Amino acid sequence: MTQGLPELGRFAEPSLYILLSLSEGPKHGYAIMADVEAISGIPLGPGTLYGALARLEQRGMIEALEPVERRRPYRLTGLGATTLKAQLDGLAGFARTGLERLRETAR
Amino acid sequence: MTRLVALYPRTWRDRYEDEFLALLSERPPDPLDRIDIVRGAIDARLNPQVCPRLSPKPLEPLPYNGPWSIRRAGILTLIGGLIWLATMGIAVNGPIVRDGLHAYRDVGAAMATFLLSVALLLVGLWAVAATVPSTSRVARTAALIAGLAGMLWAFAPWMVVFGAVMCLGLAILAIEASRTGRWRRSDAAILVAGIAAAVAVAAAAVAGIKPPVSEPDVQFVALLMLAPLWFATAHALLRPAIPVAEPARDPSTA
Repeated sequence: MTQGLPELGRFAEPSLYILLSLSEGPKHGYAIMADVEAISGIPLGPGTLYGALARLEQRGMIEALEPVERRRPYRLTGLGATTLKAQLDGLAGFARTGLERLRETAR
Repeated sequence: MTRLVALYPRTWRDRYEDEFLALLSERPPDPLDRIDIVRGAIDARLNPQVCPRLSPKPLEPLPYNGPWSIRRAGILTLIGGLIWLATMGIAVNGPIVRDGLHAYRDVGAAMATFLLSVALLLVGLWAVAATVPSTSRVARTAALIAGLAGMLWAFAPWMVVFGAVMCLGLAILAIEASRTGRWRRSDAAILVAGIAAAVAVAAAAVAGIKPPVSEPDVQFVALLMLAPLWFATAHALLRPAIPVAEPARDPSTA
């Protein structure tokens, strides 16, 4: 069963970015922040990052690994991967519909 | 910093404080970040989300994608480092040539091993570039420039500028790999320290500070300082800081 991200409120969008970042492999907080900024162009604040990480971890979408030099990496779980795929599929459908409508309007 | 973190509830701090402080020490918060932290603390108090159970799974020393190719690259880089040391040994034992104006070492015998050791370093450089996130353009660009400069330097050791560009590129790549969690910070620090030491020796020689070795050999002392390039790279490739996750499986489908 795929849990949705919208229930996470203001943490939904950062959570999506975090899942996307972790789909590349485990990362610690700073690496996630750097990657999210590279992906989205939007800086992710430390409070928002950890608010989203705690929510994702509690919902079993990510899991914490043993820390390396105080930096704890996180990785995507199976549920997280499924959730991410569902979200991306939804966004792809949304984009497809939007582009089709724009093309029809342009005719 | 700790005052801001103290705003979070105790249960949150028990779980996240250490890594959160590590993050803040790595990326000092600007005023907007501080506001974000305060908002996060309020949220943590209003909506406790702490997951008390930590995954017992340890960080296994798995390499990245294509484990054997990366591991092999690490072994080759390590061999390259040993060849580099041998190269310096061969070079400093070459005969001193005096042409009337100045004296220099004939390092012709070390050319082949020099080329081989630099080529093996480039193998390591390629492997590091393959492991940094694809979004890290700085790392990829640095690796490309360092690779090109390294190839030129391997065939023309007297062109010090190529060596300098290669070292600079490798330093940027190592810092970026560390920043993105691909390298341990200690590996990147050792590599950068090696380059800094080589630059310091060269600068001292240029400034006329007498080295504790004979004049023709000071360049080899500087080059010897570059050995950490091979060993830090090899160590990072053989024992990466963060492994790539195995393909995630959905527990609901298991």
